[in-house]
Amino acid sequence: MKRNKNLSAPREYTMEPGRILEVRDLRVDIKMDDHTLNAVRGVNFSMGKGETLGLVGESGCGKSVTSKAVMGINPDNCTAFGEILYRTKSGKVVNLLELEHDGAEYRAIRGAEIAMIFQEPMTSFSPLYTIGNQLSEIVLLHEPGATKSSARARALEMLQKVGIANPEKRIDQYPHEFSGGMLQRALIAMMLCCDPDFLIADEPTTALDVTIQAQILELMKSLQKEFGTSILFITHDLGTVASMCDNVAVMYLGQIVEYGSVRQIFHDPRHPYTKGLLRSLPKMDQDRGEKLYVIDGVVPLPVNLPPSCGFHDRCLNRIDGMCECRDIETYTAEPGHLVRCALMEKEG
Amino acid sequence: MAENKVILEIKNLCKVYEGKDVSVKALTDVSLTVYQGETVGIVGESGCGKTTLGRCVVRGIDATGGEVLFHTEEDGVIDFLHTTREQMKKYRRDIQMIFQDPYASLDPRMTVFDIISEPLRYNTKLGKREIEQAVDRIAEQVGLNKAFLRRYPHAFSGGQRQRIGIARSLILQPKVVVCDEAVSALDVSIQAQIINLLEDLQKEYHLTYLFISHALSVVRHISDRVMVMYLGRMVEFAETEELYSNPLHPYTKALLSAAPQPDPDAVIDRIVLEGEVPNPASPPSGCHFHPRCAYRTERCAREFPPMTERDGHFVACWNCMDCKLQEKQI
Amino acid sequence: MKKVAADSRSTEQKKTDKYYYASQWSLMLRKFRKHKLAMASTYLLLFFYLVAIFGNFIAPQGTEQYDGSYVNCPPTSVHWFHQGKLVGPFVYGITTTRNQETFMLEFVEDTEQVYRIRFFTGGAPEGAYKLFGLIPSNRHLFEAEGDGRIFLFGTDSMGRDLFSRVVLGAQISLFIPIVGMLLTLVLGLIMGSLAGYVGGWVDTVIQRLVEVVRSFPQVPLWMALSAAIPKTLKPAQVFMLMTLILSLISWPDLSRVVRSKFISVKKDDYIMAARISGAPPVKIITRHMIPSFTSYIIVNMTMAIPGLIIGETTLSFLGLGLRSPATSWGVLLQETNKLETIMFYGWRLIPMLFVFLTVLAFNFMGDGLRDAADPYK
Repeated sequence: MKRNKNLSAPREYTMEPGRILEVRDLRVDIKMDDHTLNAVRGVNFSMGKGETLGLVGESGCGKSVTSKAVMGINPDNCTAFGEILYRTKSGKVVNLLELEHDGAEYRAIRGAEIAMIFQEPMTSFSPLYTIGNQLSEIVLLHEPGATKSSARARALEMLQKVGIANPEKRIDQYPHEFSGGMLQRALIAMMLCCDPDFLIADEPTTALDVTIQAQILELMKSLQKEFGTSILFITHDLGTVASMCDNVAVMYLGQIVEYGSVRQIFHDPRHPYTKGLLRSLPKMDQDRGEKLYVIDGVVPLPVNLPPSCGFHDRCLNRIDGMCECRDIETYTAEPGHLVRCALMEKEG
Repeated sequence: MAENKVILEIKNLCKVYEGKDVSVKALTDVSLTVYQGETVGIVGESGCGKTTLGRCVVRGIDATGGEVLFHTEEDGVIDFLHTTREQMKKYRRDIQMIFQDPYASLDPRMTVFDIISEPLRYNTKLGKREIEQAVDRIAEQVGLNKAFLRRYPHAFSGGQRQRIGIARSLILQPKVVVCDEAVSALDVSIQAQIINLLEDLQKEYHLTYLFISHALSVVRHISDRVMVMYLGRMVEFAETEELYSNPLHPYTKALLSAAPQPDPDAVIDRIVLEGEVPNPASPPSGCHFHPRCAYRTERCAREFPPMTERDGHFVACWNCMDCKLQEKQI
Repeated sequence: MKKVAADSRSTEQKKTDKYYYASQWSLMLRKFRKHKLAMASTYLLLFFYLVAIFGNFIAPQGTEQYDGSYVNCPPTSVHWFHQGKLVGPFVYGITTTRNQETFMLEFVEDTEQVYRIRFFTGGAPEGAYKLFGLIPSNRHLFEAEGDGRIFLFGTDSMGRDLFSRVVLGAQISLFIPIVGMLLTLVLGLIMGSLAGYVGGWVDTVIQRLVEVVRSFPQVPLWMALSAAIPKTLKPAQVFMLMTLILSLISWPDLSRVVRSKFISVKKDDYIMAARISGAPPVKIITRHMIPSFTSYIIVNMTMAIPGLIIGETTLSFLGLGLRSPATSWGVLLQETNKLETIMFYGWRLIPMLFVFLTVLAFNFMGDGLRDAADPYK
């Protein structure tokens, strides 16, 4: 990923105490064959230490691109603008967008401080080495004083911690001998090996069966309690968000349209998109035969969008002369509950 | 919704995949009676055999044993697995399928018109004009813009592609439609559109659905009766309300409790199962679920429990048979 | 202001519309066009093939014409200005002298004699030919007027014009691979689809056969087979046998591609969909399966042509393929396999340049095609 080249001297950044991450006006453009996608169009959010923030939205809303921008692993055809401030373990605040992607500074943060788990755990492991090998390698890489045997001991400890049965035997097995759920556990163990402060979980349970998904979510919750990790949880599954997160940011077409605590979002959604999304879910306690609520239309491609609310042409409550002709500001509905909708202005 | 007119009977259906050194029993003794106009949901985790079941019913793959009986008006009951070529040809069109992946299930080299009209060309002798009319009609029904029919599938989003797939499976006016994870690959808002469409079409054409899915809330929404499968066998089968409010089999209970609820305050007594789904190539002895079951007894490891019924609620569990489970719960 | 925006939107719209209505082939073409090197190679190859097709017309001499007084004459240079005046393209006369020390013929331009180059002339009766083997004609693209001689690439040891021979040799060197490729295609398709669709023991037998054929060292096998071609056959028959030999050895690669595609496509959902909608197996194969990998087959075939060109050249070079007076690039190179030729008559290596360019161009084109082969990724 390319970054905006800022030629002036490195700035000093500050962040409110207690915060670990702050994303300010993040924009990511993806250059395609014959057009440029504005995948992320001005995203702002911040996360406190130990907080779990759910980033939800449908495919193409920019949630994955946002998380990869934090991790610095977007492909080369992406360009990011804005600031991603991160407080390192030493207490220094750095703008991740200013770091060289393959530079020493970023590498010291990536893995050791910010870890990521993916939807397909298989792709994170090399098929050629045993799980134990790959875990100890991480330990050796991130802990200066570690020896081979101490690294292996730590790998074993972590495999045990994530609930892999019979870890003494499992540690010498290859990734293909693990099932999907097991591999996701091993991936979490790998991430725990370097004790990160910040975890990005990109659809970590989407590829798993319901019962296994429940296991992994429980595991993540208990580990978070134990290690105090902050988690940026990316998913399209509102059910998972409700049970996992403290705060939720709903994304649509590259923007956060609503942000709030999990109760605010699920019990008192303000943005028409959030409302529609929640209403269109089939509920376990809904009456049979009742029609599902439908948001009409489709998500437009984020190419050359005029200043407007991205949702205006699907919105039933749009205000003509307002929603389609200018960018909508973000309003505070109540403390900690932000809504990017013109209706809020009308209501005052 | 069911009118007690049987349209499809599946009896002791078995499917064994023979490999070089292992054989996998993907389906074992699955029996199911489907009434006209109803939706039967089939749920289970990966490897439970639900997709195999669907494909055997539509004759996409050949079952190894059992019967798929189709009740026709003219020729009475015919067994799809042992029938003549002519009858197969005549009735194959009555059972169609909607696929999970809206990208893989449409041939990218054909225009949407050709994709939708393909079944007509193999099964009818309609002229060009009539085919065009039929395609136009069905396209309108499923909410596709007629002006876009000459486009290729890559011009469409996932939801629209799924509409194309639905149009293709409905153009022959089938009586039974197997929906294999038909909405699983779609985004939430699109999923709702497609579910509503499927329900509308069901009313309009009096369709019978076999709705295969792992999404419990979707199955609950759309189904009249639900069958739960585990490792190639059915473990529980009941009316939707009954199954979701009063699950008997420990696996069903765990499955229902594990489903994430879109409500932060939902009180979930989550039963987190130990272990993983075993390899279908070497399933556990006796009741396949026993290694993960909290209520297992020595008998469970020995023999597979028979299917028992009370008031239309079928369950295969030794504990439920003796009603021990309910007592334990209280 | 607003109107401009609307206009730009509508052109955008048109662009996307075109994309939406684009079939697989036009999508591939779009992608292929972006590969500059492949496009350039394609044009170069088109040019070569056109030259070969109109070879008899473009070559000033036929393959059998020779002139003993111009043996190993270096390439003639074409001039425009004579004594400072524009004359148009012309050549000077050539005087032949024998070097008294080396006893080699030396050719010197006689700047007194000016022979203009004439285009589309009906030349000497010995230059008569049949265009495409059908239309009798003796019109040539260019000739020097009167007694003037023009040898663009020089002449060989029998005084034959090398340019003409390169052009006429292209007819064989460029078309043997195409015929060979078509034979390969038929063999590869049949064997590959049998193996992939039928499977079972048929698959096993064909796979073993493929392995056997592939484990032979290619060149010795060619040599053995070509050595078996009777010396008494006419060039046309030798030609046919050579293509047959080349394709007998090159089908396994293609058959493997076809087989693996068959196996992978067989599992695709849209094949299952076609089966459920009642499509008979023949229709499934012809309407869905084969179209799904035609592009790969084309790529594979394009990539196979360089091998066939090299094959023909190698065989002829080794003296096992065509022989003079039949002309191919390999035959031309075969005539250079003496050290003195390379030392004194460097121009005789010009055919090699064409072999090189053609093979390179096919490889680049294959590269571009491969990148474009699956536009849906």
